Amino acid sequence: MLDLIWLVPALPLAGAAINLFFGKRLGKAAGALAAAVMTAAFVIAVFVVAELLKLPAEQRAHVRHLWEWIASGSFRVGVDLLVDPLSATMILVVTGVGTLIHIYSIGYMDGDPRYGRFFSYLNLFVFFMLMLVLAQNYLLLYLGWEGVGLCSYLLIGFWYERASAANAAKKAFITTRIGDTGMMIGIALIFVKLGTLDFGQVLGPGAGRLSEGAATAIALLLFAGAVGKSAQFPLHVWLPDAMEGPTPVSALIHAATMVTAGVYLVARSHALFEASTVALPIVLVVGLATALYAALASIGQFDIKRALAYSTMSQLGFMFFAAGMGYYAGAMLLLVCHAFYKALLFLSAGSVMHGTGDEADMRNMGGLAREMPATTAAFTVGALALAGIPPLAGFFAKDHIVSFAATSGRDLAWVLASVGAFLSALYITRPVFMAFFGTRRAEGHAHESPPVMTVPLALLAVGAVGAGVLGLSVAGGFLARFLEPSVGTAAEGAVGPSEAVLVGISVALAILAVAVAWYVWGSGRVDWLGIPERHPGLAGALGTAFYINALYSWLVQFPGKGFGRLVARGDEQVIDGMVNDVGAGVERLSRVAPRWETGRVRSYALSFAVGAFAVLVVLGLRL
Amino acid sequence: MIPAPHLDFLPLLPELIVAGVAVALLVGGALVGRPSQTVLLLLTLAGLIAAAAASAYLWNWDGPGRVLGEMIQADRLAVVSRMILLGVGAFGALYGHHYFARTGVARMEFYPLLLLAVSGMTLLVASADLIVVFLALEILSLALYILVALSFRMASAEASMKYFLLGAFSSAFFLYGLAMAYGAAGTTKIDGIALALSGRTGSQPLALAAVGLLLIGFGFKVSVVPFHMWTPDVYQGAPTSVTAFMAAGTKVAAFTALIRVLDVSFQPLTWDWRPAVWALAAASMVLGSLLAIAQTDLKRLLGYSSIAHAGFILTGLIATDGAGIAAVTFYLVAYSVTVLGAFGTVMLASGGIRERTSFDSFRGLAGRSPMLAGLLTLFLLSLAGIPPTVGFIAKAGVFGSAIRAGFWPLALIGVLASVVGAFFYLRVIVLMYMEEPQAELEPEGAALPGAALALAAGLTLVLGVFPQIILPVLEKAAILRW
Repeated sequence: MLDLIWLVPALPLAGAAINLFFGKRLGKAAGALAAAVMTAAFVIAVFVVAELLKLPAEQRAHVRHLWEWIASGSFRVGVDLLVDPLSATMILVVTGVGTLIHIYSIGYMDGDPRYGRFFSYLNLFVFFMLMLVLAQNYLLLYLGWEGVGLCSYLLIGFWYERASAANAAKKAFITTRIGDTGMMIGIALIFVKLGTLDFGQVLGPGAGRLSEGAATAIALLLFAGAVGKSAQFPLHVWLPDAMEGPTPVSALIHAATMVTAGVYLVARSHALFEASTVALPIVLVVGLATALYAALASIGQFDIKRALAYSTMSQLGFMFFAAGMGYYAGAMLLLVCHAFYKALLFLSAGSVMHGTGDEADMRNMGGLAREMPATTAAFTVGALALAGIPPLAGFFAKDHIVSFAATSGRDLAWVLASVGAFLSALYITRPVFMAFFGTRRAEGHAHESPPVMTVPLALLAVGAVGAGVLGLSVAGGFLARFLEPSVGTAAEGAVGPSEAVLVGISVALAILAVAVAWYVWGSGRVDWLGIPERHPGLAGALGTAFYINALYSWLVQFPGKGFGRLVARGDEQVIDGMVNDVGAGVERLSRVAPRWETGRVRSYALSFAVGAFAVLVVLGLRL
Repeated sequence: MIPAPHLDFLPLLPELIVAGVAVALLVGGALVGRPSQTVLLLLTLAGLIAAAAASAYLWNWDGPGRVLGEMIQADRLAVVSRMILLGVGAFGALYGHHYFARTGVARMEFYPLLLLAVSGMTLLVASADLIVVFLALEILSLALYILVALSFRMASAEASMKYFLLGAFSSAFFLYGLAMAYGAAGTTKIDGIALALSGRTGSQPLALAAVGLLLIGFGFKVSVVPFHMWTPDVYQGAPTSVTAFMAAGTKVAAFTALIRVLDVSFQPLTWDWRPAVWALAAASMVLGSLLAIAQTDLKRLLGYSSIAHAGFILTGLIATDGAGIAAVTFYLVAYSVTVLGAFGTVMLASGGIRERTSFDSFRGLAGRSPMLAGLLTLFLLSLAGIPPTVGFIAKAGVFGSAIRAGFWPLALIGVLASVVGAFFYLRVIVLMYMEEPQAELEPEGAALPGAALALAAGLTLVLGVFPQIILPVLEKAAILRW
C-alpha cells in the first residue's frame, strides 16, 4: 500500500492533463472530474497513512523510488517519494482540504467561460504541492516549489482581463522569485558542500559535517525561499494583492497549502537550521515580527479578503515563531488547524461575495446573518477558532505555541506573542460584526449559496472545531508524538508560570479581544465608519500596512528612475552606438554571406579546398 | 590446399534483407508496370522491420567480433545504430508515400532507392574496414543523389547536381586519406590501424595526413563547417520527405563511422586530432547558428541548424570515453527524432509540390492549423535544446562529456551558440503564433504521416523526461571492442 503513494500526485496530474486538453468538451463535467480525482487521491492518502501508522514509530519512513531522474557522473537525483510522519501530515491536509475546495469551486466557478481551464490549473497545483511535500531530495522539492509558484501565478491572474489581477499575478511571481533565487543558491550550496541533495544524507549525517558558517549560509538561503513563499516580512507584499484571484484559489493556495510550504521547508530541514546557532533565532524574530505586523495591518482593512490575507500572514508568522523556538510539532499543529479554519473563513467570504454580487468591501455589508445563515455560522465558527476560543482548534494550536515561549524561558517573546494572540482575536472578530451583524449598509439582496458550496463549508467547520484534538495535551498531543520521528521533540523547560495560569491568561485575552471587537464594531456605540476621517494617520498606517508598498515603490522607483535616466543617456550614446555598429556589421556580414553562398558549385568547391587546407595545417602543427 | 574461409553472413543479414527487398522491388516493379504505391510502401516497411528483427537478434551475438574477412563488425554499436537508421528509413518511406502521392507524380523508384540508401547507411555503421566504409558511403550517396532529384522542381535537380559534384570532390579526399592510412599502417582495417600506430613514437606525417583527409571526407557528409556549403541548398531543393530522411540518416551513419575511425583507428593519435576536431566543432556551432539568423526560409533554416548540430555532436565526440560515445549516440537519436518531426511538419504545412517553405507561409499557422503549429513548436524547442524535450538531455550529455574531458571552453562556445540558436527557433514560433497569416495555404491532415509525427512528438517528450529508457542500452553499446 505504501508503494501506491505515487498515485496520490499522479491522479491530480492526470486530472489536470485531461481538463487541459478536453476541458472545453467536458463542460460541466470538468469540475466533477477534478473533484473526483482529488477525492480518490485523498482516499489513497488516508490508506497510505493508515499503513504508515501500523509500522513501529522508528520505522515510519518509506522511500518509494520511481525512476532515476538525473544521473550525471557522481550527481544522481532520483524521483523518490518519501512517506514519513511529516509528509503524511502534509498530504492529508493538501488532499483533504483540497478536495473540499475543489467541490466548493464547482459551485463558485459555475458559468465561468474558462471553467475547465480553472480546474486544470487547480489540479496541477495540487500535483506540484504534493511533489513538494513528498520529495525525498531538494531538487525534486524545488521542482514542486517552482511548480506551485507557477500555478499560483496562473490562478491569481486567472481573470487576466482585469489589469489588477494581471498585475497582482506578476507581483506575486516576481516577489517570491527573490526568495526562490536565494533558495536555489542554498540548494546549490548544499550540493557543493555535501555532494548530494538526498534528504537521507543531507539531513542525516550531512548536517553534522557542515561548518558553522556553511550551515548558517545554507539555512538562511533556504529560509529566504520560505520567506518569499510564505509571505513573511519583508517579502510579504504580494499576498494581499494575490486576493485578486478567484476565492477558492485564495483558500487553497494562499491560505491552506502553498503558503505553508515555507513552514514545511523549515521543519523538514530542521537539522540544517539546528547546525547553525543564528539561523533559528532569525526564523523566530522574522516570524514574530510578521505575526504582530500583519495582525495590526489586518485591523485596518475593509476588503474582507485582504483582511483575511493579512491574517494568514500573521498566522504563518506564528508558525515560523514556533519553528524558530525549535517547536516544529507546534508549528505543524498550527499549520493543520489553520488550514481548516482559514480555508473555512475564505470560502465563507467567497460565499458572501457569491451571494452579494461580488461585494468584498465590508463597509457595504452588515446584517448578512438574516439572508445567509449558513455562511454566517461558518464564518463565525472559523473566526472563533482562529481567535483561540476553547475548545475550537485554534485554541490548542496557538496556546501550545504561546505557552511554549513562556515555559522555555523566553519571556519577552511570550509577552509579544500574547499581544499577537490578542490582536488576532481582535482582527478576526471584527469582520464577523462588520459583515454579518448590525444592519445592512447597501442596497440589494443577498442570497445563500447552493449546497455544493455550503456542504464543504460544513465539513471544514467540523475540522475547524475538532482539529484541536490532535493537540490534546496528553504527552504533548497526538500530532507531536506522530511527528517525533521526523522532527524530534522540543526541549521543554519547566520554567515560568504553570500551565493552568498560562491557559487562563490566553483564554482571558481572547475573550477580552472579542469583547473589544463587539464594543467597537458590533455594539453600534462607536462610529467606526468615521474612524478614517477622525484618525487619518492611524487608519492610513494600518490600511496600507504601514506604507511598505509605497516604500518599496519609492525604493525601487525613485533610484530606479534616476538610474534609468542615467542608463537611458548611456544607452543612447554608448549601447545604441554599439548596437548600431554591430547591426551595421551584421548587415555588412549578411551582404557578405550571400557572396559566400553564391549557389555556384565552383565557389563552394573553392571554400571546401581552403577549409581542407586549414584542417591539414592544424594537424600539421602537431608534427 | 587453400582452406576455404569460414563465411559468416549472419552479422550482415540486415543489409542483405534491405538490399534484397530493394532489388526485388526494382525488378518486380518493372515487371508489374504500375504497381500500387501502398503495396510498395507496405513491402518497404516489411523489409525494414525484418531487418530490424535481424539486427535485434545480433544484440546477443556471441560469434567472432568481425566476420567476412574482418570486414564487418558485429558489435552492439552497430546494432543500435542500425535500429536508429531503420527507424529513420521507415519515417522516410511514410513521408515519401504521402509526398509523392500528393504531388501526383507517384515514383515507384523512390522505395528501392530509399532502401538502397538505408542499406548503405547500415553497412557504414557496421564497417570494420576503411574500404567497406568507403563502399558504404558511396552506396548511400549515389542513392541520395537521385532521391534529391526525385521531383520535377528545378531547385530539386540543381540541388542534386551540386550535391553530386561536391560529393565526388569529398570522396576524393576520403579516398586519399584511405591511401595515406594504408601507407602509415600497412592495413585498412579499422582496428589494425590502431594496432600499427600504437607504441610508435616521433612524428607521423602519413598518419596525420590520413586522419585529416578522412576527417574532411566525413566532415562533408555530416555538414561540418567549412565543408557545409551544400547543406542549405540541398536541404531546400530536395523534396521535403527526402530532406527529412537524409538529414537524420546521413548524420547517424556518418557520425557512427567517424566514432570508429577516431576512437579506434586513430585512438593512438587522440591528442593530435583533437585540436582539429575542436576547431571544426567550434566553427560549425558558431557559423551554423549565426548564418541561420539571416534565413527567411524554414528548410534553409533547418539546413543551417543541422550544421550547428553537427558541431554539437563533434563536441561530444571529443571526449573519447564510453560515456562520450553514449552521449553522441543519444544525441543522434534525439536529433533524428526531432528533425524527422520538424521536416515532417514542414512537409504537411507547406502544401503542394511547389513547396512554399518561406517564412511567409508559416505566418499565423497557429490560427489555420493549431495541431501542426503545436507540433512544429515542440520540435523547434527540442532543436533549441529547451527542457523537457529530448534535445535538452542530448545537449546536456555532449556538453557534459566535453567538460569531463577538460574541454570546457568548447562547451561554453556550444552553450553560447545554443543561445543564438534559441533566438532563431523562437522567431519561427513567434511568427506562427503572433503574426497575421499572409499566405492562403491549406495545411493538410494525413493519417500516415500524422501518425509518424505523433510518434516523433511522443518520443521527443518521453525521451526528454525519461532518457533512462534508452540510456542503459546506449551505454552498453558504447563499449568498443578491438
